[in-house]
Amino acid sequence: MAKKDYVFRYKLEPKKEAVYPDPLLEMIRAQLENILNIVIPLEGQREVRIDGFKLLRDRERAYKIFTNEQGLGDFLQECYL
Amino acid sequence: MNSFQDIKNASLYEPRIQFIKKQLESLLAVVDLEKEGRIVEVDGFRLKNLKDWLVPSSCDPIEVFEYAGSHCDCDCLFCYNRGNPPSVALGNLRRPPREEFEEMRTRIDYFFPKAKSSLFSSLGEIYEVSIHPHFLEVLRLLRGKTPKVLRITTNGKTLTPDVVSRLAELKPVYLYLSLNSASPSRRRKLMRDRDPQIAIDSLPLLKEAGIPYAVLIVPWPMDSLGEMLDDLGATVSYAEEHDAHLVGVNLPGYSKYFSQEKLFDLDEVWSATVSHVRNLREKTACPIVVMPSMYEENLYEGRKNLPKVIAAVKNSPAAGAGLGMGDQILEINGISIASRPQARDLLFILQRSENREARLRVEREGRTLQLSLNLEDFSYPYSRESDNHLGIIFMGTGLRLSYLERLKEIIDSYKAKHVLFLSSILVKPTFEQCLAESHLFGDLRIDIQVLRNNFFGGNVFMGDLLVVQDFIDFIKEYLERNRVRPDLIVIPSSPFNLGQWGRDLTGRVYLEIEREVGIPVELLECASIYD
Repeated sequence: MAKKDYVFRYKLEPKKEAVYPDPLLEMIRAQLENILNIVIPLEGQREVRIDGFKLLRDRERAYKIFTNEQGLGDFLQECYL
Repeated sequence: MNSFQDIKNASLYEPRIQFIKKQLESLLAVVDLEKEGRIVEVDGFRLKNLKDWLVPSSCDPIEVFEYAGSHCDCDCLFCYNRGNPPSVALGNLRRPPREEFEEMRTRIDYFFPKAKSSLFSSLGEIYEVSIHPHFLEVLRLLRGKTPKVLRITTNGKTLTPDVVSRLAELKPVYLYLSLNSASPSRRRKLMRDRDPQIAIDSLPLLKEAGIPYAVLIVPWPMDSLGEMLDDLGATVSYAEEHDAHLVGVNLPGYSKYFSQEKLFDLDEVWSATVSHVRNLREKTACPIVVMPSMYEENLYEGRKNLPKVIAAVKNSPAAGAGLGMGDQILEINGISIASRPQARDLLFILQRSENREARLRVEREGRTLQLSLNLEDFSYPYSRESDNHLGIIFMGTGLRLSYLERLKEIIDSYKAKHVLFLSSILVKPTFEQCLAESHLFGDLRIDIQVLRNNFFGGNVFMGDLLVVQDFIDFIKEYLERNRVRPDLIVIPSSPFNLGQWGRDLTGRVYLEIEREVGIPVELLECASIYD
């Protein structure tokens, strides 16, 4: 009998912490936070640090992605590779 | 069905698994999954095709057999694993040895030295590998995959004549033997080893089997500093008698989780130990290395980073040419040498080359000598496979001048005028010296600061053990104290070196620092100094 690979299994837990009470908004925030912890977005060749988002249906309101950040603001827009 | 893996370990080395976990948890907060019209309660996930999870790797066999070290058969007074903070991202799975073996076997199946790739790492706390019931089998499987040296760290409790002869069949093998003391009573007390004679008797066995080894000693000041120093001398003599390749003295420390009380004065113990080792070197042929070596360098060397020799391995090409303590290398095969890392790099290349000879120009007590090393003239304990620098032992790795070039590139990319550079007590003097001698930076202001390790606490001050929260706390205090706000913060990458993903020992990504302090943070890529 061919030997099988060891199975790498990981446990899922119910999501506990939420920044926004709206679960769908929170889902988007959490997914963005999560992805920004493993990638740095680029615009062209330029590294861009993202700290918030808007929903396309309501461009008037902005939401923070991270809980404790100071607001990285404009200077990070000037970071070049 | 085997156990769940510990996600904490994956977060250090392969955070894409943690990413998947969080994405799924986030989605499952708002949807239910279903199959054929029925809700499926999901409580986990598994990796589908392991080939997708291969990562670039040096394919050192230790990457696999360290998974055998989930338990220990000693209980050392100074065991660093006992001092780990609860939030450190090193989980320790409790699972049957058979299951551990199955994981190791799969890891060997996906171990590709030619392609330099292997499965992502997921190591937790590491204890004694040799007590695992499948340990030798794992080594045999690995030997079928790679001719690389099996570098095994062991407390020596299993090194019976039978085990040593079986290890000899798997050469090249190099052992890091945590002997700690050649005195049975002291080893029994230090390591709570009920049968200390096995490890003590293994030294002549290893020599007979032609397995080179380093004797490791943690100079724990028990019962008194004087008693420890006497025993250190006796253990070094015993190691020399049995042709140890070298003796490594790991200066002791402890975290606040290990002990809330002060157990000893670190500077007193460390400086007394280093001073004693320097005396021992005068009368011992076996090289003695103190780790972290920068502590000794800072205490005794006015000028840092020099390619000074502290010893030559017995029967090595270096020893054959008469190289010894205090010699400073000026040239290697006609190439002028400016720093220790440069000397080490060139010697490493020569060690791996087909060359039969190396020419060194050295300075000895004010005189310049020309030495010729016969690279084919060597015998035990030196070996071509396990040595790296033709038998020359230096005071640590030193600081690469290329780090400064990279630092300049980073600063230029930000057009920064005021840079805060976060260093450690050990590295700062060498870094300052290199910076002062560099022409790269002009009148640019680089403020070099050293921060405390609050995460581990106790008397731990190694920069490599700092975590994201230590940096955040320090920078916030710094900003309160100083009127001038830096426009860039640079941190050596070594505290984030475990994986390639910029994670600290708690699994947090370094990007969190700039998010918290509001100033851009860049990592300066550099190797860990504790090696």
